[in-house]
Amino acid sequence: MDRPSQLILDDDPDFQRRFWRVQRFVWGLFALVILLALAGGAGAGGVLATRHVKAGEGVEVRFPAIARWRTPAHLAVGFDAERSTEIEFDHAFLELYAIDRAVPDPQSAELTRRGIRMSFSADGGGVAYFDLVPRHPALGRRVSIRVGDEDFRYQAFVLP
Amino acid sequence: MDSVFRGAAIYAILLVVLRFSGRRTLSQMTPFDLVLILIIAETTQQALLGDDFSITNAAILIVTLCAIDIALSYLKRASSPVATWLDGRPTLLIFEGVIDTHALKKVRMGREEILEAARQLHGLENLDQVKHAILEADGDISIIPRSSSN
Repeated sequence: MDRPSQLILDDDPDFQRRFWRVQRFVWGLFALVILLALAGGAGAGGVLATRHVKAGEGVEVRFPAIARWRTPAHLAVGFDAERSTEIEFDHAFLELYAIDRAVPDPQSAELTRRGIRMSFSADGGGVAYFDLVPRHPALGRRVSIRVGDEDFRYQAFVLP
Repeated sequence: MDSVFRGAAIYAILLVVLRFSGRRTLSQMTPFDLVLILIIAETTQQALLGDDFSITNAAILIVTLCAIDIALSYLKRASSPVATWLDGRPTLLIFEGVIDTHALKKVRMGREEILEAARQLHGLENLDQVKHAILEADGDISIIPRSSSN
């Protein structure tokens, strides 16, 4: 840079101005990341991380739409005991999540062509809770849970 | 395999975050900055190791991090723009006794910090005695005092 001075300095004002602009933009991204995390977009709690849907007649599912790799997540399946007390997880679900614990313990669990079917003893309506641990990262992996005749599918995101 | 990806990802994230956080974070450490650095170190350790505390994992991570560092140093030697973006350039804060308030604002520094550097480095009493003040790429402040004939 030409200056009426003896100062020899390897500065670059144009670069510096460009850098400051990019820096402020990146700060904006930092703010977006924080807002997204608060909304649950990064998993581990928040509106976007856990979704609650009615999956059919007498079936409600609260599932981890966005989870984190190796971080416990929770699934709750509410069902009308008069219609069915069986929950079947497909292979995609079982490959994505390890089912760490089911509350209450299922009366039985059997292998099926689709995956694993668990039967629960229930008096009237009930909710079964599952502690899940994602086995690997996933981007929109389609998984399926069948409660009686109702098939519930969702796209699972597991962040690394 | 996990360890290599973890190491590379954490290195890249830290590089971007610290680079764009500004040079204050690197050199002008206040007690709050120290707390920040300690928390980042602890968080990074957990993210790097996960639940694998084996010597193998530690060895792979160390080798990965050193290899990335070596690769980046070669990249910086080969490409001047890359070096500039990664390391930055010095910024003039005072030139010929004139304070660049815009630059000061952008680097989030005050006159007090320049004065502090002037006192520490040259025992100067006020900013009028400073000819040039430069925020170096590593976050240090260099002070060139006015000569007594000036």
